[in-house]
Amino acid sequence: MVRSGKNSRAGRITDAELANLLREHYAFVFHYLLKITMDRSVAEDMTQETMIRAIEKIDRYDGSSKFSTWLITIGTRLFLDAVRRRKLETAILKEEARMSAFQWETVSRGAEWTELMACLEKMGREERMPLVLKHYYGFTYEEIGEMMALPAGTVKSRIHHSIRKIREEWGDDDETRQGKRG
Amino acid sequence: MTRPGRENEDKIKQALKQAWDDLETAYPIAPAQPEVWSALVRERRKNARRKLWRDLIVLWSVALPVITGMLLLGRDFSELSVIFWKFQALSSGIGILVLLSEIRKKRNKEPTAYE
Repeated sequence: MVRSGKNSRAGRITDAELANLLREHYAFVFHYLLKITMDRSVAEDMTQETMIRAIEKIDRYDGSSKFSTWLITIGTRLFLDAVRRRKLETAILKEEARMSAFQWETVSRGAEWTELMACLEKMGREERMPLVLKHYYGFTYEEIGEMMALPAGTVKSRIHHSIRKIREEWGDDDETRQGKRG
Repeated sequence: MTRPGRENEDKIKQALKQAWDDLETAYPIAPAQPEVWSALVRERRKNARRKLWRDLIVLWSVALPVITGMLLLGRDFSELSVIFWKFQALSSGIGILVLLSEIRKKRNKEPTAYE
């Protein structure tokens, strides 16, 4: 993750600098949104929307946080807005009806579709989001709360609940698997 | 939390990280060429500036008649010059035109993937 020292309020980021920064972070934002949405085309659309929003709001970036964190915050809020408006939900439901297109695509790309992945896919997107932010990107409960406009306590309990859910579903399967092997 | 419980949780966290790493590997993505990004940034910033100017014009064309109207409240209107009234009509006219074009643009705007 890159911490950009360029403070847009103090010294304006030029078009070329901004273009470079966005290009460098494109894959980072896409992979974050992919983990959240578990849908390639939605993740791509949302990444583009995040980039456009970042260009429009660059004057509000004060350099106090990493540029990547700022982009993740924009992506998170865009995603939550879309989900709350229930418009994205409809689009994703269509995807689910197609026998988990994401599972098919992941397997066709040569990756293994593990039981843990299936467990994550079953999870609600608003449950998956804090889990990814905490256990993959290492943000604190407070930072996640700020991004999601939730109290830190709520974030903590959501993550705890998600881990428990995974332990119940995936953990049991894991034990079964080990039992079978043994 | 008991020791086996903690170990179990650590195992889950490790497995989660591995699953997400695998996902990143399975979905590589290459950003567009730098020229494309430069063009996008230039165009978006130009649009943002244009929008700011338009908003400013709308604001002033609405505010000007209101402010001057309030200042002149109670005065004898026959004293006011023709130029003043022309100016008032012109600023209101511009405001209405800009407002109408904004409304039309919003209506014609294609819905995004999430709308």
